[in-house]
Amino acid sequence: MAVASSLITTGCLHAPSRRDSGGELPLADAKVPLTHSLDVYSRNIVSGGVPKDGIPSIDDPTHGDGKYLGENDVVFGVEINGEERAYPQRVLVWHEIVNDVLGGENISVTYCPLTGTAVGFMRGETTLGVSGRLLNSNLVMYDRKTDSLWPQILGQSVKGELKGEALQEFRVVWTTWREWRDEHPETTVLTRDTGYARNYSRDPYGSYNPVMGYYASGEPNYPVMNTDTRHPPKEVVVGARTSDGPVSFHKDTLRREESMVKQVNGTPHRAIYNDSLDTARVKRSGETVNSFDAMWFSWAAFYPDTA
Amino acid sequence: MATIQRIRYKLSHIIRSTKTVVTANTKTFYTTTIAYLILYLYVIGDLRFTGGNYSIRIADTTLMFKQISPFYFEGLAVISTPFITLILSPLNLFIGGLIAALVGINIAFSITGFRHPQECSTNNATGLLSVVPALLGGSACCGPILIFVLGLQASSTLLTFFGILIPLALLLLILTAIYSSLQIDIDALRRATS
Repeated sequence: MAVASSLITTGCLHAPSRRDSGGELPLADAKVPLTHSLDVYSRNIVSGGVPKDGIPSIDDPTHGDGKYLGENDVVFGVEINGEERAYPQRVLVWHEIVNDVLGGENISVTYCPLTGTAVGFMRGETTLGVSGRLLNSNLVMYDRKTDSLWPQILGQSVKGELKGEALQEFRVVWTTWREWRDEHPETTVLTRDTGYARNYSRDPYGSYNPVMGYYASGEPNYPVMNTDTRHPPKEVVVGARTSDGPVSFHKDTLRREESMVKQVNGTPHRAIYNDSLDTARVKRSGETVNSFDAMWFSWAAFYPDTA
Repeated sequence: MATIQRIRYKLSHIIRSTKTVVTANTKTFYTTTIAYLILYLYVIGDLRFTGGNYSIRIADTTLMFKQISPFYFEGLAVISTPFITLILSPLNLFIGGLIAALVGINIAFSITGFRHPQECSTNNATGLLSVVPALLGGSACCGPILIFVLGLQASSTLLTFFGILIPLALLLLILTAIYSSLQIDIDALRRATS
């Protein structure tokens, strides 16, 4: 898809200070470096085939001990202020967003099945919902206070009253139930009592246990703004974006190497693999920055200049 | 008046013809209807032949009329048994049942035409062909997911197409049933099947 590009650098994502949009959404001072203007991103948003809230967010979650989970089920682990919780992929695949309270904080744990991304955002006094639209196959969220649109991977609004603002993020660990529980024995788990009748034993796109269907291979089904053939489209990378720019680390390579360093505009960014959770942290000059797993095609679509 | 009388006569003929054909092919009608309903529920994802322990998980019943995607509605509960998992949605059951019954009627007409060609001047294939739009209609709710299953490129045209499948399927099924029913000599058929 032919688009004009203009680099917009707006600050350091790794050191956000708290500010809010009038008591509602907590916003980050720092914003993700963008390759295109917000209007160009906005024009590339397409319908995902479902209406707004056609994929319903979980807004009244309940928590339990996770007895319904299999040992190798994928979960998204979150720890806030010492409180730990696992959000099973098999539940979130049907809802994509859960608006919850953890460690005394109002949070949204978001998951996009099409791009394999799980990202956490602070939501303040409002909630996030699924707009039914996609950008580079990625979930486009909306906030229920202003109706602004927020592509999940960007974490920045591209349309609406809060256009140009960035959400505050927190770390979400993509791991398995066994690994998360072993590391966090006091964890609670999102239950299947979501208020919606869904068969949570079935994943409409495929499977991660074992990896099959849409998740295993193939091209993206929706238009993307950029294509990069350095990796197969569905290969997982660990991505981070800082004031220096975006960087990604091929996860399989990281598993073997355990540590990798890339220069991003002259600043070293190190990814350190954690075997016990099969996850990685990214440090910029020794300071941890937020990072998350992503399918390569989606990372390259948003960040064609990625290191 | 003559026009109204003709319409009333045709309607009466359609109803009597349908009743006669279904009565003459009761087993076929019910078997086809139930089989198609099961297939429909499977295609839309409300029925799966896998399960776990016996359980019933009740959802928010106020969501019963909420449309998830074209002609596909929220369920009231998830019923799980060792072999079957069913999402119980009254509206999905109604739509599926309506399409299934129309498929059953069309198949009954087709078999009647095959067995009693002198009493029915209908084309035997008409009833069977009606199954095609019915099957497509069963996929209408799940267009976006079918796109992934089939590896298609999503486009607004394709997504719009899925939205019209169920009304199109219903229309075609009703039209083929009406057409078939009007070809039947009811009295002759009753004599032949008594």
